[in-house]
Amino acid sequence: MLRAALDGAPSRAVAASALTSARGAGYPSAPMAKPTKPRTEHARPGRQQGSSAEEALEHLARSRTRVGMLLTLAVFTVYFGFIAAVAYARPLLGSLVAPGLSVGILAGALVIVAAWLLTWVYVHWANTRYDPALRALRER
Amino acid sequence: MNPAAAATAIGQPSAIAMVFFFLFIAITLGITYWAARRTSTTEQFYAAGRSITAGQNGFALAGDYMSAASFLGIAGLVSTTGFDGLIYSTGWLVGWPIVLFLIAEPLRNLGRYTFSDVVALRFRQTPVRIAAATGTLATVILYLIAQMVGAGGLIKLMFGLSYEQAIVVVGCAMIAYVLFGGMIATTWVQIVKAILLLAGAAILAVLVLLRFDMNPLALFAAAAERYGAGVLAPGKLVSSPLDALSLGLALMFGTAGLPHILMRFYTVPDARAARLSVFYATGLIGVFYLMTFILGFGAMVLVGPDAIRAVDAGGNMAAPLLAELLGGTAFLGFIAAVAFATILAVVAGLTLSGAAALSHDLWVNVVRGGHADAREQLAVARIATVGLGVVAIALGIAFKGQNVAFMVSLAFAIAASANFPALVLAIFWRRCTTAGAVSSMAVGTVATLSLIALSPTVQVDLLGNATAWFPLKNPALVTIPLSFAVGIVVSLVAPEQGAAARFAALSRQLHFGDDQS
Repeated sequence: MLRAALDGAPSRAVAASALTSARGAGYPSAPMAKPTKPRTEHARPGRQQGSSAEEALEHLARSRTRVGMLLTLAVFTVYFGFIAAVAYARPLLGSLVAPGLSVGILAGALVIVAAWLLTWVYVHWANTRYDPALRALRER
Repeated sequence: MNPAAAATAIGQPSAIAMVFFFLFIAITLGITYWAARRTSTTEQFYAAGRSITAGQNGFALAGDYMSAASFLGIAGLVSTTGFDGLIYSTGWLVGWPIVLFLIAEPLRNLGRYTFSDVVALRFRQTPVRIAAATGTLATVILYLIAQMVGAGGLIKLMFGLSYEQAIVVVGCAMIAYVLFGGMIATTWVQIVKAILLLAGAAILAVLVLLRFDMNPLALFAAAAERYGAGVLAPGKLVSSPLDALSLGLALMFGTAGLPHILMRFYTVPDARAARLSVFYATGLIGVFYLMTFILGFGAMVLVGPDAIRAVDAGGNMAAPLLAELLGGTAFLGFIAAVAFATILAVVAGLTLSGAAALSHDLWVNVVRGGHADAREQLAVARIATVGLGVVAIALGIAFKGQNVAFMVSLAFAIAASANFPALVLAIFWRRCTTAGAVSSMAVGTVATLSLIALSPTVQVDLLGNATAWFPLKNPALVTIPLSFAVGIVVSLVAPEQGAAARFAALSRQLHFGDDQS
């Protein structure tokens, strides 16, 4: 995904399908976009650089949103999984892993640690993938 | 059984606590004096000139978020119920990843001073600003009332000052920080407070663990041995799963809609620093909550739940009592001063974000249509600061003796239902419109306030009625989806030409930022 963003110039077919899907989705300005679309298609050879950069940015934007949403879902699952266990699996959470350490205490502490680790995952992704891709785009 | 009960110095005017407290006031006023000379533009007043580093902002975010309620409240809850306190700790933390994944970087790149900037970017200014400022002020004022009333009660318990005196002292100090030092002073007050609070909690946790061979499990085992294995297992806190889910949603998504937290992302130079600062803040807050868990169990074993309840029925004095037992009156004074400093820093951050909503959103962008010179902007911001400070003092005194603990979760519910959905729709959804964003914020605010008024929290606990019309204590389970649904439906029913086209420009700025700053 990000590789594609970095490579920068995917096929024209991808670009065309992206445009049609944007229109197909009932984009409010679709009637206005109609006459301009063929023009951009024709003008493409001259504007190859700018157009593919825009596409690459859109790719990057989509992967950033996807990473953000996936990680949000992960935190959501971890936390509400814990709450569900507290509500429905009390005996389990009360059972001891070691003297003094119940499953519940371990799970609660792990929720806190997991939340922090997930922020690290995001920061790591953003620093090693997103930022370089953005820098490459900016340099064009 | 409870050796500390008779001997406690809590509630007596404490010279040592006073010394520590006035030392904190002196240091922070010194910072304010230093900051005041660096606060001559609106960018410096609202955003510290974008000069705060990621590490500094991480501490400041933690400082803004770690309230006395979480320090004293969670330690107290753990000391009287055991495991259940941990449910709160996790809830208060899980909002931070959401802030990072969805909000922090777009906010930094798209706005200037307030979160309304982001929502207003591609929509019509006036209605969006009014709706966003209303959501901000509702959140800030509810949060302020809870903090002020908490401060009054706490200081009365710890220093022997009268309630009204305490409120006035807190109010005046907070006005001074914000009025003269703006965001620079507020940020450094947060940093000093965060370090003091983390250090205080860490010292206390180590003092506890020293009695248990530095092994937390030995501490938990001792608690289980004395008070039964039940203290290590879920108790009565989550009696209704739906209530727990609703509160959890409010905490998780409310953090990402708290105006004073969001405003902090404008103080750093770029999106990368905003990102790193959340990572640091999450780590600091996570460690802090793990330490409060140790403190709670320490207080349960060493002080005893009965002795804790004897001083304060809510258990809020667990950590101070533990400090007195382990470190004597001097350490109690230090912890008391730290708790006071904590409240002071939180209310300063709240006041600044409220003042920004009043002056930047309402005055400059609505009343003056964006045409106000720098001097006027700064003057209005300062007037708004004093106004809000006076209102906070008045409300603090007006709500004396009321049970206002629910107001914090109410503030989170409004932030989650009024601010968060509009922010997400404006940033991520191409087809969102002005009417969609405004109706989402308006419905979010009104529905949250109405459902709280009809909830058991107000109807049963406050008014003493037998039943409540609305079953949930926190309305977020209903109001967050409602607010999203209203925003989406209204946007789809009446498309707006310009808004969708401007989304492309927004998308560019979201990633590349505003190259000027």
